[in-house]
Amino acid sequence: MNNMEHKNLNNGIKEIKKIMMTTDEKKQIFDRILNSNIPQQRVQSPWFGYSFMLKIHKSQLVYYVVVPLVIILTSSGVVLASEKSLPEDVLYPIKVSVVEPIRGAFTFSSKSKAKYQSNLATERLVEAEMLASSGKLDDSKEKKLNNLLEKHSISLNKELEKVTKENLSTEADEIAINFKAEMNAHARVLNIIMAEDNELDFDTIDNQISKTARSNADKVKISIKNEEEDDDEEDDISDKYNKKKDIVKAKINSKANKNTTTSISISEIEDINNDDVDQIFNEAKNFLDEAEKKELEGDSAGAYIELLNSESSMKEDDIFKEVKSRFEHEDEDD
Amino acid sequence: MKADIKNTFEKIYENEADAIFRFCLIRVSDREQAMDITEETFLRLWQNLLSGKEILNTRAFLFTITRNLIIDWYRKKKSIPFFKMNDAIFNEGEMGYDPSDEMSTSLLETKAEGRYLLEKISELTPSYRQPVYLRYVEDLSPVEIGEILGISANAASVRINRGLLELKKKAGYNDDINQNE
Repeated sequence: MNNMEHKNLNNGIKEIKKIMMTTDEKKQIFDRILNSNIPQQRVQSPWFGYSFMLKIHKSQLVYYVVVPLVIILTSSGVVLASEKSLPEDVLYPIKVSVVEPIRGAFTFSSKSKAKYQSNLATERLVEAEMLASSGKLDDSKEKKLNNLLEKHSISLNKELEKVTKENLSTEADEIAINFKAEMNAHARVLNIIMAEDNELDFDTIDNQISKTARSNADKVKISIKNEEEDDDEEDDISDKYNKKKDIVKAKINSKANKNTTTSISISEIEDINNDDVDQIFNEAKNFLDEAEKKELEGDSAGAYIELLNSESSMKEDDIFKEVKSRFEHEDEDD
Repeated sequence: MKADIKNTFEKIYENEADAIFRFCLIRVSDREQAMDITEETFLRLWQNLLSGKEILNTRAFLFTITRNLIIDWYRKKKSIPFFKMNDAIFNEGEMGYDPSDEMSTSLLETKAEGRYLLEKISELTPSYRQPVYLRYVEDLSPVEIGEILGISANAASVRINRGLLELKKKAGYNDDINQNE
């Protein structure tokens, strides 16, 4: 039995080994191989670029390096393009819903966050001014910008509360003053632009965005008031007041001198805006007078608040002049 | 110089062409395809010899290339997902001997004992089929088999021995197969 099986196995192997090519087949293959044109030296393929891409694809490098790279490059292009977009543009939603929140996420202190929100609110007003100056500020865009402005103001107030809690009330004051000045100045500019475009009287124009800007400026002022009035450390406030008072007074005096020297040339130009400048400047002076009055009455906190208002009005005056002149130059260029 | 290379190639071709063709035919069950793969295998050898590359073990080199070409052929033919390819090769192709396949004329011509042995080898556990075939039919050493399959010589030996035990059971060869080694 065993010998029989052994024999069977050997036979099986022998039979398998009989599987082979015919002599002709063998010769044909041999000849084809020897006659094949085999380049002795490597020549760079004209499809090198394609092959390279194929290699990248095959090695899955494409998934880990190339695709993310393309996404980064494309998205950075979109981000850059969206920077200057306005509410009418396709990229605007990317700017306000993606780019700005991401940038916000990279600001870490409450102070920086508050500044960032203040800047965004100003940015919304600048956008409104640009749209208004080209006559494209319709109701839907106005509503959109208004909502965003409202959102930034709420965020700003939250961050300012945190800054104050971190015993950085002076920094919080600075941010609030700047915000207030920016809001009021731009609200005024926006009204002027719209009045000019619609050939209406400046006083009769009061669009929603300007209203919101002013009301938010007032809200910030109120929040300063609450913080300062709750502050029991009267000496600290008194110190802060004295330090700031000299600076604000000096600024007002220097500005008053400037206005006097240029009053002739200003008065020669019939311009509604000069009244605005005077109005803001007078407000600053009035706030300073009020501050001094309260100081005499022994109301340090009240005096300090008025001083901040005065400082804010001075800044508003500067911003207003700057924005106004920018728009005037743009008009001249056009 | 080229004449020397040609002589070397001719000797190798004469000695190994049938073994390579057989290895292909048993796995692809298609005579034309087996010839194509054989031709491609020897073409690669010819190119390597011409370029002056050193080949340490010609038989292992040839079987390795053939095995890879067969795997490529299965990929193209089946268009099956890569992770399923091994199953497909081992379950269908590796010993794809099918007596009903009209194309495998040579296999059909093989006599009863040969067909029986091939059938039993094809019934082995997939990882034992190639080691057993290469060891007992093509007389390759465990070192060469390890090189072809990309495993160590020890692992190849283990597979050969286990495959042999399985073959004995399935084919009823008992211990006498050892005398054949």
